[in-house]
Amino acid sequence: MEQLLRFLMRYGVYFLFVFLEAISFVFVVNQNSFQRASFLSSSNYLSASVYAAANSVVEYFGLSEANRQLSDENNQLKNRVVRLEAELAQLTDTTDRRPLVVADKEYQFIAAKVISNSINKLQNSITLNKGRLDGIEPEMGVVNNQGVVGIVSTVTSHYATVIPVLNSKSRISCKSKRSGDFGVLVWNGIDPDYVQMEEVPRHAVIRVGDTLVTSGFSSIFPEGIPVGYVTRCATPENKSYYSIEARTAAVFRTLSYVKVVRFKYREELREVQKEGEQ
Amino acid sequence: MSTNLVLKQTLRFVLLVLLQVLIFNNIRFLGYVNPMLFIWFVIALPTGVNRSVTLLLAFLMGTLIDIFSNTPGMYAFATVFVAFIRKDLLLLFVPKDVYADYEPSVKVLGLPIFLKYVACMVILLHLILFSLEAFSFQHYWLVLLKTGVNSVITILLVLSTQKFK
Repeated sequence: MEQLLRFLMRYGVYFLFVFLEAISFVFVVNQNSFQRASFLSSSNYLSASVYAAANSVVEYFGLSEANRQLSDENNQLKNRVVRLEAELAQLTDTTDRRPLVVADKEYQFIAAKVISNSINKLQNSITLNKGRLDGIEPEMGVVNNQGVVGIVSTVTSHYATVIPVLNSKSRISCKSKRSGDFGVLVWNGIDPDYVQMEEVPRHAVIRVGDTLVTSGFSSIFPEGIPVGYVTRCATPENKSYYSIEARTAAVFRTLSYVKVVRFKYREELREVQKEGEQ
Repeated sequence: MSTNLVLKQTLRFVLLVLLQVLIFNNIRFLGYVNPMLFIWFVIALPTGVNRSVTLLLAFLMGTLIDIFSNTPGMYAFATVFVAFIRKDLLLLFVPKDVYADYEPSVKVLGLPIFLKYVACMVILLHLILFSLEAFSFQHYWLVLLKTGVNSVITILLVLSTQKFK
């Protein structure tokens, strides 16, 4: 017994070292499953309130940029109202006909504020100040007035964590607005202003300047939200795919206000897709 | 250990964690600049502190930063490793005649020894951190680039905390 104790006293540090490293390593390896455990993510109460407090100070410095973005969006919305009003007037004019278009109410938007945002890592993340009580759930899309931002990963009562496009694990299905050719949007972890589009076959027609938009295949994003603008595209001799680089539509360096996309028939679509697979 | 010292180390701990998660992890320059000043806590911890306590403190610090930056286990692993190797590095670089309980700093060790010690700690930390972050050999040159750039910045930051005279 005494010998055992002496042994432990002598080598206890090494055991502790191995033990702590083992715990950390298990966390690292199971990153994906632990990201769901919200107490280990930045949406837990402690870290989220620290971020919220820090953000309430920092946001004053970004106010002019935030103002500009909001007024831009305001403008866009006003233009849309005018256009839609005109359309509506046109439709209601021809009295006895039913409206040709039914308003698209499948998607709702929940406005949220970014309280923490990183762009200098391989696995970047964003924390929002809205959570489950505001109707946000995991795997909802996040956009701002410029374009796609990312996908919600963890949700607590009042906060949510988002995996942005600038995360080497993010894969978002997208297409060229002009030609309709599909691909997958990924990020190589280097420049936070540029993302890459993969899996576009050589026979597709993609040109520099094309707008890349969401494909609308999943229930996460509506179709046609911009994700990037092609800045470089090439067909390497020895590859059967295009190599495409695009500037991100959303400017991640100055992200402040975003909208979470809520798809009304999400469960229904998922069910039907699951049944189709079987 | 006196209460004063505990208080000083606690303050430093909290301050460095906050600095790290609120400022250094949010630098938006070039997309890969992310210095790790928080390691100064482990670097400058008095050598009289029990080795097990040092490991536990390092683990706590790493886990806190992990929670803030959504990287479970990453900082904890790297910080604990560096905290463990610290004693051996000090034994390697510091001449035997320096007294047993001291706070590693330029004042006590002199610039050349301190710099060697800090450089080893910082480069190891960054290498482990960025390798774990990438978690594949696919990004190896990016890992090396980030390690190089950020190590230099972190070493400069650590030196900026030192009194030279």
